[in-house]
Amino acid sequence: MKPAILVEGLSKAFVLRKTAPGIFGAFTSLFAAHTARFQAVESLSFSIYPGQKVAFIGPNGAGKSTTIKMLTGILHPTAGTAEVLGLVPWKARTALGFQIGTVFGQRSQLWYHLPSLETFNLLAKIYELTKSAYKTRLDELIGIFELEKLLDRPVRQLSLGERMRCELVASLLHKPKILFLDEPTIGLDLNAKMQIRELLNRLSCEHGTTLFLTSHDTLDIEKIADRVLVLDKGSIVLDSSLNELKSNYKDQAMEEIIQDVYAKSS
Amino acid sequence: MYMPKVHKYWAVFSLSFMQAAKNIKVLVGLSIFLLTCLIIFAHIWHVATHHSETARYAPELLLWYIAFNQWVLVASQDVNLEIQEELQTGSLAYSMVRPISYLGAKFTESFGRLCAQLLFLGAVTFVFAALWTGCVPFSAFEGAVMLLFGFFAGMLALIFQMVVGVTCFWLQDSTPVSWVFEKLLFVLGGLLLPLACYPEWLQTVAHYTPFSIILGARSALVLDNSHEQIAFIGMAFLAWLLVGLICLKALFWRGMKILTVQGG
Repeated sequence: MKPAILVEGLSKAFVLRKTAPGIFGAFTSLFAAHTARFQAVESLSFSIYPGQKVAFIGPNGAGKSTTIKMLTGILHPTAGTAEVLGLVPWKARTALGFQIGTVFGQRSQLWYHLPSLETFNLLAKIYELTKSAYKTRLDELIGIFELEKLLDRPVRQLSLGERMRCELVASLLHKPKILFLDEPTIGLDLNAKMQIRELLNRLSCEHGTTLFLTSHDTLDIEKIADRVLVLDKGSIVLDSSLNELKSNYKDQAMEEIIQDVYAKSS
Repeated sequence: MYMPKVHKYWAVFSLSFMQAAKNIKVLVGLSIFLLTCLIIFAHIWHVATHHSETARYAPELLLWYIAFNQWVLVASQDVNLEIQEELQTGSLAYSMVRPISYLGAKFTESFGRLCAQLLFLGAVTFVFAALWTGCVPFSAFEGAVMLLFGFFAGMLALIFQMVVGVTCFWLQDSTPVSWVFEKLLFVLGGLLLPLACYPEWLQTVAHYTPFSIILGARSALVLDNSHEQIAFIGMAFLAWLLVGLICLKALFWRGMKILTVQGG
């Protein structure tokens, strides 16, 4: 089977401008700027197969968002290559856009003052869906995500959990083969988190959507993922199936397991 | 014929227009501000026309001139600040994942909102001006042309505001550029005083900038609505729209290089 995501030696370095502290430092940096190279991601290699549910985790600054940005075509890598659904993301961003979905927990794609249905109608146009395909898909997603009563309410009147369900529907309208989720449960209460996890599992099970998830919530990892990629300081320090990881760390909570992986890597 | 690319921008425009039209509080707030400005200017012009260079124009005409200026100015939004915020928070980068051009979507979204505000504020402004002055100093045809030019002016202001916003790729904060742009618009656009009242050298400078087309030269059709003048303003709009679009596209393209290669 051909991998949905294939990454080989992917690296990204940023050149950061350094400013000395204080007014004098700020002034001198205008004339003599000091720069430093920051290696955000270093030689990542992995492959993800269709239908897999992968948790891509790591501490803040580990390079998770940079990797997602490269895999969705937002950032160009410094070295290495990647293929997502057979396309090089940074060369074919628009074409890839039709085949992937993204949910960024802290960013909304819904129009704040309008009912979510209006955003769905707009996205159907953006993703160039035919009317019949859109209607069928929307009806299906409304059923899965239980949105019947929410469609006509302005987004500003929705709770965070309800909004996130709408965000997921917005990301799934065009039937993406891969869904990138960056902290999809951030800020949600326990019930809403459980609901989102159940819905993601149902989606993956019924439609075979590949899930690529980042989260700091270990329950997200336990309840959704079947494979775990741990990133630290720009490199992968663990690539394991969830079952294997659990059997290696008998009776330990996921949080302790992850802490142990970080400790070993440093 | 089904044209998905056009349809998606039309959909953005419609949605934005609808959102702005439903935001009644903002429309009422802008209307109150605009009417306050007009009432103040109506009184100022009443006194000033007796003691200044503007004495050549009747106060009623000057109020209509100001009304056409303020209409476009108040309806125009700070889209540059939106671009700045979207760049700083990363929303701009994340929006690139969707199969729609950021620049095209931002323009159509802002233009949709602008059109809603121009329609609402236009009704308020021109009804007020007609009632206050007791006259409408142009024919129906001239009025229609001036209204159309108002929408062009809003579009031109929007494009140049977007150019200002895009400077964030290099400056991180476009506020200083925005401040300079705004002040130049007020002065060289002839916000308070028709450009014909300026010293000749300053008139020449103003005529070579887009500011006069956005505000004063366009609104001055109230004072001189000859067909030659209408044709000149129409041509100037097209020329400046072209210049603005080229600048915007070129700067955005360079900026995107910074974003995709250096991460913003």
